[in-house]
Amino acid sequence: MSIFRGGLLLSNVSNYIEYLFLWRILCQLMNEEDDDINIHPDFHELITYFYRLIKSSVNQKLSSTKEFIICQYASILSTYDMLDIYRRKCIEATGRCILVHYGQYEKIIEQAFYLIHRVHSSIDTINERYKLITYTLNDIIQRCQNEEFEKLTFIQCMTIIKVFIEQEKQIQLNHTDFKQLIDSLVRKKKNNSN
Amino acid sequence: MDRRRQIISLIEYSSNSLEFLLSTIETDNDLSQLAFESLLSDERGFTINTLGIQGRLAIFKLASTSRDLSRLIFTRWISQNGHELIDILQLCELSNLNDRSIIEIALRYFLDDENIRRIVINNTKIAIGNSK
Repeated sequence: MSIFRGGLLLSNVSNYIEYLFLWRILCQLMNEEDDDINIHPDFHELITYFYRLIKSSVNQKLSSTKEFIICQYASILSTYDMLDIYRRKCIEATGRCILVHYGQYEKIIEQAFYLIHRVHSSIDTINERYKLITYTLNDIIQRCQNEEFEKLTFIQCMTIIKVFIEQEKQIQLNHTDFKQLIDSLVRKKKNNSN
Repeated sequence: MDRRRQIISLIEYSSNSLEFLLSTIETDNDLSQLAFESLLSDERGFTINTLGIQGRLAIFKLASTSRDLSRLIFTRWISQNGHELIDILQLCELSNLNDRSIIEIALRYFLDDENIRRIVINNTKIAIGNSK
Protein backbone atom coordinates (compact mmCIF):
# COMPACT_ATOMS: atom_id res chain seq x y z
CA MET A 1 0.00 0.00 0.00
CA SER A 2 1.23 3.43 -0.82
CA ILE A 3 0.30 6.52 1.07
CA PHE A 4 1.65 8.78 -1.65
CA ARG A 5 0.29 8.37 -5.11
CA GLY A 6 3.23 8.15 -7.47
CA GLY A 7 5.61 6.92 -4.82
CA LEU A 8 7.52 8.24 -1.94
CA LEU A 9 10.12 10.96 -2.05
CA LEU A 10 10.42 11.97 -5.64
CA SER A 11 13.89 13.14 -6.33
CA ASN A 12 12.65 16.58 -7.38
CA VAL A 13 11.30 17.28 -3.91
CA SER A 14 13.41 19.95 -2.26
CA ASN A 15 14.96 18.80 1.01
CA TYR A 16 15.07 15.33 -0.48
CA ILE A 17 17.90 14.12 1.74
CA GLU A 18 16.21 15.36 4.86
CA TYR A 19 12.94 13.68 3.98
CA LEU A 20 14.78 10.44 3.38
CA PHE A 21 16.55 10.72 6.70
CA LEU A 22 13.32 11.47 8.49
CA TRP A 23 11.52 8.71 6.68
CA ARG A 24 14.06 6.13 7.72
CA ILE A 25 13.73 7.02 11.37
CA LEU A 26 9.93 7.00 11.16
CA CYS A 27 9.99 3.57 9.52
CA GLN A 28 12.29 2.21 12.18
CA LEU A 29 10.27 3.64 15.05
CA MET A 30 7.07 2.21 13.60
CA ASN A 31 8.75 -1.11 13.10
CA GLU A 32 9.99 -1.29 16.67
CA GLU A 33 6.54 -0.67 18.01
CA ASP A 34 4.80 -3.01 15.62
CA ASP A 35 2.26 -0.28 15.11
CA ASP A 36 -0.96 -0.88 13.17
CA ILE A 37 -0.50 2.21 11.08
CA ASN A 38 1.04 1.42 7.75
CA ILE A 39 3.39 4.26 6.93
CA HIS A 40 5.55 2.24 4.59
CA PRO A 41 6.33 3.96 1.35
CA ASP A 42 5.73 2.50 -2.05
CA PHE A 43 8.32 -0.21 -2.09
CA HIS A 44 8.67 -0.51 -5.84
CA GLU A 45 9.26 3.18 -6.23
CA LEU A 46 11.80 3.10 -3.46
CA ILE A 47 13.76 0.19 -4.80
CA THR A 48 13.64 1.46 -8.39
CA TYR A 49 15.21 4.70 -7.37
CA PHE A 50 17.72 2.89 -5.24
CA TYR A 51 18.79 0.75 -8.17
CA ARG A 52 19.10 3.71 -10.49
CA LEU A 53 21.29 5.39 -7.96
CA ILE A 54 23.52 2.40 -7.37
CA LYS A 55 23.79 1.73 -11.08
CA SER A 56 24.77 5.29 -11.86
CA SER A 57 27.46 5.23 -9.22
CA VAL A 58 29.28 2.05 -10.16
CA ASN A 59 31.79 3.88 -12.31
CA GLN A 60 32.18 7.08 -10.40
CA LYS A 61 33.49 8.22 -7.10
CA LEU A 62 30.55 9.03 -4.88
CA SER A 63 29.97 12.45 -3.43
CA SER A 64 29.28 12.45 0.28
CA THR A 65 25.69 13.37 -0.52
CA LYS A 66 25.15 10.35 -2.72
CA GLU A 67 26.90 8.17 -0.23
CA PHE A 68 24.56 9.40 2.43
CA ILE A 69 21.50 8.77 0.25
CA ILE A 70 22.59 5.21 -0.41
CA CYS A 71 23.10 4.62 3.30
CA GLN A 72 19.62 5.92 3.99
CA TYR A 73 18.10 3.69 1.36
CA ALA A 74 19.91 0.60 2.58
CA SER A 75 18.75 1.43 6.03
CA ILE A 76 15.11 1.90 5.04
CA LEU A 77 15.20 -1.39 3.17
CA SER A 78 16.49 -3.11 6.24
CA THR A 79 13.40 -2.17 8.23
CA TYR A 80 10.99 -3.94 5.96
CA ASP A 81 9.17 -7.04 6.92
CA MET A 82 9.54 -8.29 3.41
CA LEU A 83 8.00 -10.84 1.14
CA ASP A 84 10.56 -13.26 -0.25
CA ILE A 85 11.14 -11.38 -3.47
CA TYR A 86 11.79 -8.22 -1.50
CA ARG A 87 14.29 -9.89 0.76
CA ARG A 88 16.13 -11.15 -2.27
CA LYS A 89 16.20 -7.75 -3.82
CA CYS A 90 17.49 -6.28 -0.61
CA ILE A 91 20.32 -8.75 -0.34
CA GLU A 92 21.25 -7.95 -3.90
CA ALA A 93 21.04 -4.25 -3.26
CA THR A 94 23.26 -4.57 -0.23
CA GLY A 95 25.79 -6.52 -2.24
CA ARG A 96 25.87 -3.75 -4.76
CA CYS A 97 26.33 -1.23 -2.01
CA ILE A 98 29.39 -3.04 -0.84
CA LEU A 99 30.63 -3.18 -4.39
CA VAL A 100 30.26 0.54 -4.78
CA HIS A 101 31.86 1.21 -1.47
CA TYR A 102 34.74 -1.14 -1.87
CA GLY A 103 37.44 0.57 0.15
CA GLN A 104 35.20 2.95 2.09
CA TYR A 105 32.67 0.50 3.35
CA GLU A 106 32.23 1.03 7.05
CA LYS A 107 28.77 2.59 7.03
CA ILE A 108 27.43 0.13 4.51
CA ILE A 109 28.69 -2.81 6.51
CA GLU A 110 26.81 -1.49 9.48
CA GLN A 111 23.64 -1.48 7.40
CA ALA A 112 24.37 -4.85 5.85
CA PHE A 113 24.80 -6.33 9.26
CA TYR A 114 21.51 -4.86 10.37
CA LEU A 115 19.79 -6.22 7.29
CA ILE A 116 21.17 -9.72 7.64
CA HIS A 117 20.29 -9.71 11.30
CA ARG A 118 16.72 -8.95 10.38
CA VAL A 119 16.56 -11.63 7.76
CA HIS A 120 17.52 -14.08 10.50
CA SER A 121 15.25 -12.57 13.08
CA SER A 122 13.05 -15.58 13.83
CA ILE A 123 14.35 -18.95 15.00
CA ASP A 124 11.32 -20.74 13.53
CA THR A 125 11.97 -19.69 9.98
CA ILE A 126 15.75 -19.60 10.04
CA ASN A 127 16.31 -22.69 7.93
CA GLU A 128 13.81 -21.63 5.34
CA ARG A 129 15.39 -18.20 5.21
CA TYR A 130 18.86 -19.62 5.00
CA LYS A 131 17.87 -21.69 1.97
CA LEU A 132 16.32 -18.69 0.34
CA ILE A 133 19.41 -16.57 0.88
CA THR A 134 21.77 -19.26 -0.37
CA TYR A 135 19.63 -19.77 -3.44
CA THR A 136 19.55 -16.04 -4.10
CA LEU A 137 23.27 -15.60 -3.69
CA ASN A 138 24.07 -18.48 -6.00
CA ASP A 139 21.70 -17.06 -8.53
CA ILE A 140 23.36 -13.67 -8.38
CA ILE A 141 26.86 -15.13 -8.58
CA GLN A 142 25.91 -17.14 -11.66
CA ARG A 143 24.46 -14.17 -13.40
CA CYS A 144 27.55 -12.16 -12.56
CA GLN A 145 29.80 -14.68 -14.18
CA ASN A 146 28.13 -13.83 -17.46
CA GLU A 147 28.72 -10.14 -17.04
CA GLU A 148 32.35 -9.46 -17.72
CA PHE A 149 32.23 -5.92 -16.45
CA GLU A 150 31.62 -6.48 -12.77
CA LYS A 151 32.72 -10.07 -12.60
CA LEU A 152 35.40 -10.26 -9.95
CA THR A 153 34.49 -7.65 -7.43
CA PHE A 154 30.81 -8.34 -7.33
CA ILE A 155 31.31 -12.06 -6.96
CA GLN A 156 33.64 -11.40 -4.12
CA CYS A 157 31.15 -9.14 -2.42
CA MET A 158 28.47 -11.75 -2.64
CA THR A 159 30.87 -14.37 -1.43
CA ILE A 160 31.66 -12.27 1.58
CA ILE A 161 27.99 -12.06 2.46
CA LYS A 162 27.56 -15.74 1.87
CA VAL A 163 30.45 -16.63 4.13
CA PHE A 164 29.04 -14.37 6.75
CA ILE A 165 25.59 -15.91 6.59
CA GLU A 166 27.03 -19.41 6.79
CA GLN A 167 29.05 -18.51 9.83
CA GLU A 168 26.19 -16.77 11.48
CA LYS A 169 24.20 -19.95 11.32
CA GLN A 170 26.56 -21.54 13.78
CA ILE A 171 27.82 -18.76 15.99
CA GLN A 172 26.53 -15.39 17.03
CA LEU A 173 28.78 -12.89 15.36
CA ASN A 174 28.74 -9.31 16.44
CA HIS A 175 29.42 -6.25 14.39
CA THR A 176 33.16 -6.28 15.11
CA ASP A 177 33.51 -9.86 13.97
CA PHE A 178 31.77 -9.08 10.73
CA LYS A 179 33.99 -6.09 10.14
CA GLN A 180 37.08 -8.16 10.82
CA LEU A 181 35.87 -10.80 8.42
CA ILE A 182 35.35 -8.25 5.69
CA ASP A 183 38.71 -6.68 6.47
CA SER A 184 40.55 -9.95 6.12
CA LEU A 185 38.82 -10.76 2.85
CA VAL A 186 39.57 -7.35 1.46
CA ARG A 187 43.22 -7.64 2.47
CA LYS A 188 43.45 -11.04 0.82
CA LYS A 189 41.99 -9.65 -2.36
CA LYS A 190 44.46 -6.76 -2.36
CA ASN A 191 47.41 -9.11 -1.88
CA ASN A 192 46.19 -11.29 -4.72
CA SER A 193 45.92 -8.42 -7.12
CA ASN A 194 49.39 -7.04 -6.30
CA MET B 1 25.60 33.28 44.48
CA ASP B 2 27.65 30.21 43.66
CA ARG B 3 30.49 30.20 41.22
CA ARG B 4 28.54 28.55 38.43
CA ARG B 5 25.83 31.18 38.41
CA GLN B 6 28.42 33.93 38.54
CA ILE B 7 30.11 32.57 35.45
CA ILE B 8 26.88 32.18 33.58
CA SER B 9 25.63 35.63 34.45
CA LEU B 10 28.91 37.08 33.25
CA ILE B 11 28.63 35.17 30.00
CA GLU B 12 25.17 36.54 29.43
CA TYR B 13 26.35 40.13 29.26
CA SER B 14 29.30 39.48 27.01
CA SER B 15 29.09 40.15 23.30
CA ASN B 16 31.16 37.04 22.65
CA SER B 17 28.87 34.94 24.77
CA LEU B 18 27.66 32.67 21.97
CA GLU B 19 31.07 31.14 21.40
CA PHE B 20 31.72 30.97 25.09
CA LEU B 21 28.44 29.23 25.81
CA LEU B 22 29.00 26.75 23.03
CA SER B 23 32.45 25.86 24.23
CA THR B 24 31.09 25.53 27.76
CA ILE B 25 28.43 23.13 26.49
CA GLU B 26 31.09 21.08 24.77
CA THR B 27 33.86 21.04 27.31
CA ASP B 28 32.53 21.66 30.79
CA ASN B 29 30.44 18.86 32.18
CA ASP B 30 29.42 20.73 35.29
CA LEU B 31 28.23 23.81 33.50
CA SER B 32 26.98 22.41 30.22
CA GLN B 33 23.38 22.01 31.32
CA LEU B 34 23.31 25.55 32.63
CA ALA B 35 24.91 26.93 29.48
CA PHE B 36 22.45 24.94 27.40
CA GLU B 37 19.47 26.45 29.19
CA SER B 38 20.95 29.89 29.01
CA LEU B 39 21.54 29.54 25.32
CA LEU B 40 17.93 28.60 24.70
CA SER B 41 16.35 31.16 26.98
CA ASP B 42 14.23 33.79 25.27
CA GLU B 43 16.22 36.76 26.52
CA ARG B 44 19.33 35.52 24.75
CA GLY B 45 17.67 35.87 21.39
CA PHE B 46 19.64 33.12 19.65
CA THR B 47 17.72 31.34 16.96
CA ILE B 48 18.56 28.15 15.12
CA ASN B 49 19.85 30.30 12.27
CA THR B 50 22.13 32.52 14.31
CA LEU B 51 23.68 29.57 16.10
CA GLY B 52 25.48 28.40 12.98
CA ILE B 53 26.31 24.83 12.04
CA GLN B 54 28.83 24.34 14.85
CA GLY B 55 26.43 25.75 17.39
CA ARG B 56 23.61 23.52 16.28
CA LEU B 57 25.85 20.50 16.42
CA ALA B 58 27.05 21.33 19.92
CA ILE B 59 23.47 21.59 21.06
CA PHE B 60 22.49 18.31 19.44
CA LYS B 61 25.45 16.64 21.07
CA LEU B 62 24.21 17.51 24.49
CA ALA B 63 20.56 16.90 23.60
CA SER B 64 21.35 13.38 22.42
CA THR B 65 22.17 12.47 26.00
CA SER B 66 18.68 13.16 27.24
CA ARG B 67 15.12 12.60 26.12
CA ASP B 68 13.91 15.79 27.76
CA LEU B 69 16.59 18.00 26.24
CA SER B 70 15.92 16.55 22.80
CA ARG B 71 12.24 17.32 23.02
CA LEU B 72 13.00 20.74 24.40
CA ILE B 73 15.20 21.85 21.51
CA PHE B 74 13.01 20.50 18.71
CA THR B 75 9.86 21.91 20.24
CA ARG B 76 11.54 25.23 20.81
CA TRP B 77 13.02 25.53 17.34
CA ILE B 78 9.80 24.50 15.68
CA SER B 79 7.73 27.00 17.64
CA GLN B 80 10.33 29.77 17.62
CA ASN B 81 10.34 30.73 13.95
CA GLY B 82 7.63 28.48 12.60
CA HIS B 83 10.29 26.12 11.23
CA GLU B 84 9.16 22.74 10.04
CA LEU B 85 11.18 19.80 11.31
CA ILE B 86 12.47 19.26 7.81
CA ASP B 87 13.90 22.79 7.73
CA ILE B 88 15.77 22.15 10.94
CA LEU B 89 17.24 18.97 9.51
CA GLN B 90 18.32 20.81 6.40
CA LEU B 91 20.15 23.38 8.47
CA CYS B 92 22.09 20.51 10.03
CA GLU B 93 23.64 19.70 6.63
CA LEU B 94 23.06 16.02 7.15
CA SER B 95 24.85 14.78 4.08
CA ASN B 96 28.14 16.38 5.02
CA LEU B 97 28.09 15.78 8.69
CA ASN B 98 30.12 13.03 10.24
CA ASP B 99 28.24 13.34 13.49
CA ARG B 100 24.79 12.85 12.05
CA SER B 101 24.16 9.88 14.33
CA ILE B 102 24.05 12.42 17.15
CA ILE B 103 21.21 14.25 15.42
CA GLU B 104 19.53 10.94 14.79
CA ILE B 105 19.49 10.04 18.47
CA ALA B 106 17.99 13.39 19.39
CA LEU B 107 15.43 13.07 16.60
CA ARG B 108 14.45 9.60 17.75
CA TYR B 109 13.78 10.94 21.23
CA PHE B 110 11.60 13.64 19.76
CA LEU B 111 9.68 11.29 17.47
CA ASP B 112 9.09 8.77 20.23
CA ASP B 113 5.85 10.55 21.01
CA GLU B 114 3.07 9.11 18.90
CA ASN B 115 1.22 12.40 18.57
CA ILE B 116 4.32 14.18 17.37
CA ARG B 117 4.90 11.41 14.87
CA ARG B 118 1.42 11.75 13.45
CA ILE B 119 1.92 15.46 12.94
CA VAL B 120 5.28 14.91 11.26
CA ILE B 121 3.91 12.22 8.92
CA ASN B 122 1.01 14.45 8.04
CA ASN B 123 3.28 17.40 7.28
CA THR B 124 5.51 15.18 5.16
CA LYS B 125 2.50 14.04 3.12
CA ILE B 126 1.39 17.60 2.57
CA ALA B 127 4.87 18.80 1.61
CA ILE B 128 5.35 16.03 -0.93
CA GLY B 129 1.86 16.56 -2.29
CA ASN B 130 2.51 20.26 -2.78
CA SER B 131 5.79 19.82 -4.57
CA LYS B 132 4.25 17.90 -7.46
